[in-house]
Amino acid sequence: MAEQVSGYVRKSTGLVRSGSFQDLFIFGLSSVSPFPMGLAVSLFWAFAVFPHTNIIMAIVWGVVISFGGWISFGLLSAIMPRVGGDYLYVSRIVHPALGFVSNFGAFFSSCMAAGYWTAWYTQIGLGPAFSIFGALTGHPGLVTLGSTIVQPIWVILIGLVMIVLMAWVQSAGIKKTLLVQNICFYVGMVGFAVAIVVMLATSRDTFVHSFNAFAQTYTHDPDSYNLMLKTAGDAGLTFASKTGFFKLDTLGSIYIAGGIISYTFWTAYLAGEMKSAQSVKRQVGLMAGSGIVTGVLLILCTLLFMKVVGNDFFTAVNYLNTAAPDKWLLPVKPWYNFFAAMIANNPIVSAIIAFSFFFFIFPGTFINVAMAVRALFAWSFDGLAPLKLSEVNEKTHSPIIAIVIISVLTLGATIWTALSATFFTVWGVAILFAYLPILFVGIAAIVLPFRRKEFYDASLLGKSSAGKVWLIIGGVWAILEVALILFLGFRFSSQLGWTSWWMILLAVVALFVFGYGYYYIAKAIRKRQGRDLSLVFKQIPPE
Amino acid sequence: MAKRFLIYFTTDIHGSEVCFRKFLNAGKFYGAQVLLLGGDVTGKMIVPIVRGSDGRMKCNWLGQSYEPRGDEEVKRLVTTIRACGHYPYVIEAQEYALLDTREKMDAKFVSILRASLAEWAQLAEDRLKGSGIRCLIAPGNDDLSLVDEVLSQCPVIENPEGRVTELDGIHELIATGYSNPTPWNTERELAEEALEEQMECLFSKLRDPSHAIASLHAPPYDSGLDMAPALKDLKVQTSGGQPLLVAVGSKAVRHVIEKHQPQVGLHGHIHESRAIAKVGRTICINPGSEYTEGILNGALIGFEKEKLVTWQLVAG
Repeated sequence: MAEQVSGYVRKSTGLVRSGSFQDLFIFGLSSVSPFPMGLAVSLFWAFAVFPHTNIIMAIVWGVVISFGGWISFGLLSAIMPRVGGDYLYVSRIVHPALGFVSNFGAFFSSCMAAGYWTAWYTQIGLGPAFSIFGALTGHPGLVTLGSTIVQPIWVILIGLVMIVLMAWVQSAGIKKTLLVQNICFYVGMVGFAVAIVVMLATSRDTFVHSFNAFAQTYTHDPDSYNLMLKTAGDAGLTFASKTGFFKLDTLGSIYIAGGIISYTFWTAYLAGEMKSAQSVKRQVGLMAGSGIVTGVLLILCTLLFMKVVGNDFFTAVNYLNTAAPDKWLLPVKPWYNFFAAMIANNPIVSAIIAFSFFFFIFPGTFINVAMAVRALFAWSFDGLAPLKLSEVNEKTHSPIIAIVIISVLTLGATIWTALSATFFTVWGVAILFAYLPILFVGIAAIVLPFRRKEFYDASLLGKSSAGKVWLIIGGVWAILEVALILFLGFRFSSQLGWTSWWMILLAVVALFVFGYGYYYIAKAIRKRQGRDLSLVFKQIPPE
Repeated sequence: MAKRFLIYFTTDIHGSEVCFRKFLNAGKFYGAQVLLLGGDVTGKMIVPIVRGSDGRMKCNWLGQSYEPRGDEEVKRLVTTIRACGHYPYVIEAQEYALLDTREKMDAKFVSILRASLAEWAQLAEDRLKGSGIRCLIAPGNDDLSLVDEVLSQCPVIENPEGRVTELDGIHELIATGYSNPTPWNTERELAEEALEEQMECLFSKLRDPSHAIASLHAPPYDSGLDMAPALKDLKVQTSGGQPLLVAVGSKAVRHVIEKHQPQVGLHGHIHESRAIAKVGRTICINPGSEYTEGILNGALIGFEKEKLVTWQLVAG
């Protein structure tokens, strides 16, 4: 009989079929963290600073630790499907001042990241593309161009052009922005797919032969492959093939792997009809699924590259590129796109692989800019910032003021990263701030059934006998995730760029002081204007 | 300092028992003199809790099966379902089997809805009688006509639909729960031209439009208060995994606000579009809705004499 009993829904607004799991999954993979970027830059950085890492295990553990954020964000996004993100979760459940601290930290991190990604248009995108293509096709002018445009002045100028372009696209509306984002992602993926096909069709011997043929021009050695190994050895590197993997190196690499994988929780920032209001499994599954697939793809790609180029060689070239760059004689960085383009030995294929990589940068930059704009809107609506910030231009129907502000901040961060090494000191802070929302949302998940009992009881999770257990599991896991990141950041501070641990601590204290101070000052100002900000999230008793 | 006249506005509670109860308490909670519920008051689903011949109760709700045992569990299930804005009803299996056509289900829906509204009317009277707080409830495009009929029988509830309501001697309120056409062909929809004509008629009755409050259920088109996912065959359209958000508000509402420039525009209809925007000099507010979560989204609008001094989104 239970199968025949069902509710009757009358004709009414809003009953839609929500977006497919596949759609949301693609968002998790494409918009949040184009993993080929992570593969090229972050993962191979791991080899450079942790040469005895068991990178596969590091990726696996990166996935495991990320479950904390996925479960916490996933559960809360299922309980509160019409809003998204740390600001509202933490403000409603714990305290609005802490919600602002969390979100301001994320805002700071997003602005820094947007600047960093903007610099990458030249440093990682166009510069290496010209160098690779020029070197492979025998056009030294292009190689020179490639090394010229990664100079600070060009990083800034080209970055400025890209910032203006991005602002223009955003001001044209969400539809055009998504269109551009998707085109960029798929172009990038075409190049990545071509690179994978090339690597799949290549044996180790073929790679060695190709590398030797290419590198001899620069090293003047017919066996450049083994020369790299010897040079790295002379520079102090010992190889995992002889020493075995080091647990500490693997541990340090978890920090990097987690940084690529964990951000699929950002799908929680999508609200509304894309979420099935009652589907806890769907929300958690979406975030975890995107993250797990990212991890699996990273593992498979890494294994493929190791098979083709050799683990020791890969470690050697990344070590040289980072620790002894004067001994890395090639004009291009040792990333997968360079090697794949080199093996292809075809101008068209090489061009596709080299230049398509540039297109990944737009989605990566955009998501950080969008997060920052979203933060301004949220603060504006809640009275923590002027309403002007959320104003939508009547002609273009876009939040021009917010876009301009974030564009200016992005430009500032771009200039900073291009001109000064101090950026990277602060970058460690920015990365930590990006993890803090996971910590605070984890805390919110744990306390939700107790601080907001009516909230919890109203949700489907509240009907389940295991609801509280899952919230506690997710919350504790999230706290442990951030604690581990903190530990790794301090433990391996020199390798990971946390060059001043005391600055990191000071920055966290400063964030709390600023965040709470800002909130209470804003509250006082609004009170004089007749607005009581303590009412924004205060629950009305129903009885 | 002049005494502040405070209005609490909410909308789209869609039958949520928790939200209605919070609404009735909002006046005291926020210190508001006027409570305004701007439309879409009633819920969308009735949920049978069927008692079989063996006495066991069974219920399927939102993809989950329930078999409550005993009155306490039934009561808890009923409370949970009501909190989400759905209407549970206990029914014998033989009786349930007779509800085998859409017409019979519609009739059942109407009778359950009527009873529920009558309970709400009584609750409003119990809580607000003698409080000095005015309670205005306007039906929205999703509300059947019986909403007007049942709520009008409550002495503490006023229905501002289709007329001018005097508020404080300075500000007047006009309200309409009609919307522009939706994909669901709901109860109170009008083509844009007809909707504009209806609203023009309302505005023409105002003493002073520049100090009026217009509670127009549909938000103004392309104002930022009306962004909703694009639909095709009622399926959310996406691009690269992200929902394509499009403006679905009313052009008629936009026209009349641009033309008459009331002091405040209060809107609902699009639950996800919690926002504040200016259309000309008019402050337009859509507090959004999270009724399924038992959260009552609202807005506090405060005046000191003619001056609009505060407008604030709240989530209670």
